[in-house]
Amino acid sequence: MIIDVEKLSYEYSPNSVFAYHALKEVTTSIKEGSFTAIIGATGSGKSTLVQHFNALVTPTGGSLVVDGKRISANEKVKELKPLRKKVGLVFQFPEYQLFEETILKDVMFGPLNFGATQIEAQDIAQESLNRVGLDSSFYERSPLELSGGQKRRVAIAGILALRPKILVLDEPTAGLDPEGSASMMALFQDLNKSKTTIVMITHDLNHVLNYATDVIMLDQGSVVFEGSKDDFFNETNLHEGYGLVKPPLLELRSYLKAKNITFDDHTLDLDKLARSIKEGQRHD
Amino acid sequence: MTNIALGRYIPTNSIIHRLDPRIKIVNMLLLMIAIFLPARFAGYGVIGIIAVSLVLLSRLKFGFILKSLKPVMLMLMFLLVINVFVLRTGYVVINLFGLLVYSDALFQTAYIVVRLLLMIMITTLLTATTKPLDLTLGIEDLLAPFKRFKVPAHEIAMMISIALRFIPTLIEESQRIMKAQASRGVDLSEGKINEKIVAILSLIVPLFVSSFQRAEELADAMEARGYSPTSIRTRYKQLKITMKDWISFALVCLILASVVTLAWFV
Repeated sequence: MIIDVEKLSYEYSPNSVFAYHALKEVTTSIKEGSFTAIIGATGSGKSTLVQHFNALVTPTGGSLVVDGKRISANEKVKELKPLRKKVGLVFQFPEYQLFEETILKDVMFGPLNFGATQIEAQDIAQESLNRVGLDSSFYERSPLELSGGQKRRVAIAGILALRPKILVLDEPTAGLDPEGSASMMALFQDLNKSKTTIVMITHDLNHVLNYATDVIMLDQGSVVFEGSKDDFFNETNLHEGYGLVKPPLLELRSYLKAKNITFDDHTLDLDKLARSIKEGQRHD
Repeated sequence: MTNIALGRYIPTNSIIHRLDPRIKIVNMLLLMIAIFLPARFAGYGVIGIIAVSLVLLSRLKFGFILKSLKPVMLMLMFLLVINVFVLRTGYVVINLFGLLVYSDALFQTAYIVVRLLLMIMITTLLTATTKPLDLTLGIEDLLAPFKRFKVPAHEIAMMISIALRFIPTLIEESQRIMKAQASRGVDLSEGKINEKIVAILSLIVPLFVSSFQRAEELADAMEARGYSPTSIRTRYKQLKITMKDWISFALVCLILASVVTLAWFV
């Protein structure tokens, strides 16, 4: 387990009229190398939970261990920088964090903060920008003159440039068009294949179905499901309700079932589903 | 940052909360005048007792009021140091390693401290017991008579209410950006001067960009709903002055009068 959360609680503005328990004794874990989706309704505590992973927020109760580093309640965290470099956190609408004059400089900002030299930072920045699909013609342009989707790419490149071991994404595809969203997801899957652990907050069950390996579901500050993607979709009914939209593939499965067509009703892969329908018909 | 006490509304629904905002503003202004009258410590005693009882009536916590004082603490310390060096009248109180501290320096500082304490108590009372929107409605009404002299009362009130409305949004936004930049290795508490400047820039530039964007969007949204400051507008919330408002006004007048007499005769 690369992240282990033990009875973690977090309370906003404690001891005041505005006190609010965002997380209640959450115990969960994230496997090294996994692509873990964190889902749940708005206000369920997803964002608060992931902000603990690089100690932007520290628990008011309980503790967590991130890649060997323990963060406990009521204890000041020392040596934050190595942790922040290890866990790259991309906020929701990250395009609002751009501030440098040129795109290249903005992406270099992170590595420079973590002690890279100018030349090293420039190399990493160029590599990261290429990775998100922005070529050298973008390097010297101002980040403010880009389109929304391009800005988002620059912001994500800014985090990729830290070369994090764990990449945490808070709704990375919110507000992107379907094509932009698909290419963004392909990038994360690619990173996951090259050994980066990915933790992604999302409302889109279709993304969970297509890309995630594991699922953690929160509701009102507590974990209601934790396990593999297959178990989530096949063994529970949690994907129905909680304000979530059923993925088209599952809609198709229920439709086929209603029509009494024989097929492998546990597959989450469209091609396999198609093959199993063919096989089922051959048997009939 | 979420613990900023100055100017925050605390909903305890006390009798002070239910007073008319216009009367509350006028009352606050009168009490301010009373504070600035040279009525010595006797006058401050009177106002102090009133202020404390008002805080009790409003069911606010004293800790909350004291929290509002925090930002001015540094200024007061600075003032004390200057007074000790500059004011050299009265009798010598202490001899600090050759530095003579005179009584007037201490009195003068105590004066200012008490004044500030009372001022902050009373202004906090107003802002903590009045919803920001009611406050701006009150200001608009109070400025209405000056429309004859081309004072744009409605525009001023609208500007204030927009500004008040966006303070929490901007605080939230700056916290978000700070967190985002912290994830990129920015550390506001450590580092050399030039690193700190870059750190602050990384906060201010995005904040400005998004504020301008937000302002434009807000203007569009207001125009789309046909907002025009010059046309006559009706109000959803009608303010009404009742008996208890007049009583509170009379009491404040009485306090002012007694402080004036104190200033005159003492």
